[in-house]
Amino acid sequence: MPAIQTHDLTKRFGRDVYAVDGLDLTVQEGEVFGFLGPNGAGKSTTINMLLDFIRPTSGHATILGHDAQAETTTIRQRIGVLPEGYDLYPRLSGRTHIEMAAELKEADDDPDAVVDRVGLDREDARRKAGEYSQGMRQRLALGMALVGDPDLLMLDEPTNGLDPNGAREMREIVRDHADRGATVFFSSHILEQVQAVCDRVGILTDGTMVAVDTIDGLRDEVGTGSTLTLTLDAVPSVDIADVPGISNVVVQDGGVRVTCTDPAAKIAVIDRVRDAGATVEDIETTEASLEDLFAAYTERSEPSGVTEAET
Amino acid sequence: MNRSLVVARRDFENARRSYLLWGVIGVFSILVFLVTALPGLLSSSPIGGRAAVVLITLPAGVLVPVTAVVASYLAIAGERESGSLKILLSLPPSRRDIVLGKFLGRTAVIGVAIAIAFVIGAVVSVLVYGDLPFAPYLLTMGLTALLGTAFVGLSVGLSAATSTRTRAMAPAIGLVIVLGPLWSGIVAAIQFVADFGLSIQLSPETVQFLTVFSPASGYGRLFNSVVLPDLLGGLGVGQIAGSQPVSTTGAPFFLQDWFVLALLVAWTAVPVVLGYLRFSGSDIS
Repeated sequence: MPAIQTHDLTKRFGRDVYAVDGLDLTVQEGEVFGFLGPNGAGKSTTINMLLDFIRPTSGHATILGHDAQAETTTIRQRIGVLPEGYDLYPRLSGRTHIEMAAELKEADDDPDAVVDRVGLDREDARRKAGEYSQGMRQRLALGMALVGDPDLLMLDEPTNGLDPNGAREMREIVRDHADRGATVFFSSHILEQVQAVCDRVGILTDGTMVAVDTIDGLRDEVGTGSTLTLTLDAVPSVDIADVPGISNVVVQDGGVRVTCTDPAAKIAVIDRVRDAGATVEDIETTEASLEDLFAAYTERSEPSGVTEAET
Repeated sequence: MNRSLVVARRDFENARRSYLLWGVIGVFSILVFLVTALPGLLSSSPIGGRAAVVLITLPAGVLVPVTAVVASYLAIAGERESGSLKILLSLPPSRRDIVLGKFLGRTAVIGVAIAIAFVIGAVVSVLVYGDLPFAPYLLTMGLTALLGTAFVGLSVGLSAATSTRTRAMAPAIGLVIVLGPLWSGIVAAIQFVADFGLSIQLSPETVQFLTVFSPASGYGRLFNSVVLPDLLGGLGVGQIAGSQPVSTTGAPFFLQDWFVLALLVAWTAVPVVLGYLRFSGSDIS
């Protein structure tokens, strides 16, 4: 049974603004799924439909096998949510928030343990949430989501407002929760966040899913392989463009830069220039980042007249 | 049910830390003190503590609606605008649990406000007037609680039906004014239109019904017919502070106590249900 499944999920605002357009998405149980897309792509609209904050114009969604619109209480007992654009209760303490989550989920979590797990200071947890910094708010909200050891975590832009250290801790908590066998679904417009923890990613643009794959799979598909940059004592007068598995050769001052679609091509390129008498002084390789993939997909998906909606 | 009680308890906990709310409760309490104590301090009361029972309904009839509306009009719309509603909606409570929980939580708030005011009134009654007619006083407090609950129901219902603070505020203010000070004017206007526009002479019963239709007037009517006759009956006192005992014997059903009471309950429940229906169908984003 998939953790999340949508069929032709569509949300239209007004008469012709499609924020999400015919989305088919399946997130398997136990995987960490990154939901990627630029701001305004429809990520939050999709998550808000999955959480029954907003109602689809058409289509259908299930969470852990339950109807997302009809069985909200059952679903929310088993999932943890970090929604987008939430606010805490400014006059209640952080600890009270955790207690409230535990009462409502009928879970017996120790509030102190939850507070520790998300890296919130126990002293701070006794202060009013209205005094919290953005980072503390995110930690507390994540803590509320983790209460009751949910089978599925749904996090909308969880690293928003976190410093790099906080973002790394957030990723560790996500990974740790996934290692317990839970499913994690999180959205982000920051690609590094996703690359580091996700088993699979889906890329959403203009309300439609343009790609779903593993990060390696996406790389293969788009063909942006890794880039090999060689620093040489002298550029040899040898043609390397016919080495199998390379797609692009740039000869520059003091070396060459080669894009390799096949990892084995790297050694072949190095052998070729050394055979030609050049001395390799430095080797640098860079993997294609999701940023590159993202740009490739966003450009590839044709402008279909769909209007972008900010939600 | 259990979930709405948890929502109610946490909502009460959050609301009771609001300075604005304590400000309104403070003003209400001070007015209760002044209105009940001053007459007794300035001249001696021939009817003892019974005067306090009558006097306390004057500030209560005006300020309980105001306090209830201030305490409740943001219950859902405010959370919807700020985003704290998303915290609740991410947890198991359904939208019905939330509306019911908010209604119960804010009813508890107005209950506490009324209890504080009536404790002050009771102390004044004993110290200034020498005694406290216990049963009528408790009955009056119960009626006042019903009045407060009606306005909580009205404003929680409104709050559930609106999406922002400002949109919730205008009808809330309108509500207090129309159903309070403006109501007798509205009844007069209806009479005028019926009389001169439609040539229909409204019967005195119909006019009385229109009057008690407003929750605050219904409250006054119930006090006059349920509490006052027993309180002042044996004394031959006709009128005190504008309140006159009312007998419902022979009155049409829509002026009977049970019907006026049912109207108060309807003022509580109908807006909550309508507000919930609107809320349950709307997008929260």
